[in-house]
Amino acid sequence: MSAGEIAGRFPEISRPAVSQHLRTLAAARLVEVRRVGNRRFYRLRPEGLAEAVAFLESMWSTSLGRLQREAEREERAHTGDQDGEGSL
Amino acid sequence: MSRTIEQTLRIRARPETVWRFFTDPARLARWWGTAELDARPGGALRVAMHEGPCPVMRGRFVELVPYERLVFTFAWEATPGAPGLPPEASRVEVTLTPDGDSTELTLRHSGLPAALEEETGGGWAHLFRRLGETAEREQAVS
Repeated sequence: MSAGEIAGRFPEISRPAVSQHLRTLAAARLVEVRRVGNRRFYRLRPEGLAEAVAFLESMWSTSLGRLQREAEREERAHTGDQDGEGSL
Repeated sequence: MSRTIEQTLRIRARPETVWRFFTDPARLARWWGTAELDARPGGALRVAMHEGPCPVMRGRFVELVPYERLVFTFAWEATPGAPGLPPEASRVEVTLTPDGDSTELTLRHSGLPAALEEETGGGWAHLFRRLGETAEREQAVS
């Protein structure tokens, strides 16, 4: 679908806003852009959402793993102080 | 239609210790990203991650029950190369349950869009509506 056709389906949204939306969606890989001459055609990438969720899953798993290590290290340092073991 | 990510892990630390890693920016930076936050209901939370396409998370605290439960909204700022539309409807709930000298942490990230309808359906309308809402919110915040 061309940008013009897409914009035609959303009369309540201004043309610059439609272009901005399309750029954002392309950056997020939720739409695919194909250039023919000086025209741009857009296609939805339904698989883009699955990738987005997979990205979040891996982000949480990596980050929470770091949280676990950091919290455990802090806890050990704290109990170390209390026991007077002087752990670094 | 939406889907949820759920992860649970057991941390050998007290809930009080784990809690601080969500509400203290310096500690949050040690596991997630550079953070600016106001740990009160309605307070803003912004986290700039350092990995991959360096996405920036922007949200707002919804609920804070010290050492037990913390809820915030979760959206990505538009970042080239980072997957995902701003899922501004999504929210993250963290619960901490003491278990001996450990804590069981459960993270539920809900409200993630599950699937896009086809071209002929509401797919475009759905995406545009979400983007429109995000733009309005960003203007309201700034």
